[in-house]
Amino acid sequence: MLVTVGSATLAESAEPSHLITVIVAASVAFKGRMVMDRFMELRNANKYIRGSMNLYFYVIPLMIIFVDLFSEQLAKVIHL
Amino acid sequence: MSSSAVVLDSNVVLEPGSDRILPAEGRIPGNPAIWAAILSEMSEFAVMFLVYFIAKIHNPEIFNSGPEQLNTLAGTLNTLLLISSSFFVAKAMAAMRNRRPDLSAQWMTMAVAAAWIYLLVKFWEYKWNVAHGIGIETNLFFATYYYMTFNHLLHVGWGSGALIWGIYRIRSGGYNPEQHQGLETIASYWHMIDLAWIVIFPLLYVLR
Repeated sequence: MLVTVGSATLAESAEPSHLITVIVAASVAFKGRMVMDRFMELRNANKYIRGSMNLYFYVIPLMIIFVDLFSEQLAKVIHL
Repeated sequence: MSSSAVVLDSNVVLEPGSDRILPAEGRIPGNPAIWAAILSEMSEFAVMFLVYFIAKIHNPEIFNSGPEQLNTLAGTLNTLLLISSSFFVAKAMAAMRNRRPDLSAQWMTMAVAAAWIYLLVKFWEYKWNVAHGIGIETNLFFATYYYMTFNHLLHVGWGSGALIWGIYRIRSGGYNPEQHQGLETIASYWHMIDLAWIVIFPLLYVLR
């Protein structure tokens, strides 16, 4: 809850920066992990299911950071 | 988990020295079929996120200015509602394992209420968008916004139908503390819907 309200406050008040993007990516990873561990109870579940879901919440936050840091370089090699 | 735990079912064990029922080590929550569905759905959302990222790197101005035109309050409220509903579903699971099916049904009802308030907030947000001249053809950012959020809204809609089915099954004695695989299946699917929104919210409302 606090992380969500913090994200909304960032959205409304902070100037865009790479640091903000990293904080937002970290909040996605953190909230995803909390939901998976605490609510979905994946912490002691089947290792393949746990591994796939955990991987998802490592890859997406990293993509958020990569797209912010290397936007121009990625645009040169990835086409619509 | 201790190796002396008493296995009640493939999914639950009795904690040694107490009457607490806990999820079994290495289990598949719910059933394997729902995990095929969950991983497929997560892949579908991953494709949407890829589309968003690719569109963003080619249209940085549109994607950086888009979020500030959206209603952040609506996005934040919906995030809080979905996290709350996930919490309520987790409490319903715990209540079922603690031999309190009536309480479990009450938590599930609260989860449905949160889901329906989410839908109301989303419709209000869409109306607010229209009033502010934001439509699906406004630009690529808003096309992506409607593509993701409407798809997610559909998941919340039919997911809440699954929650209602779960309440009916609890009320009719379809689940008990030792055997409630169906309830766990519904819960796992619902948490997946929450997880998708955890990614959608910052992409559309926060990152600029």
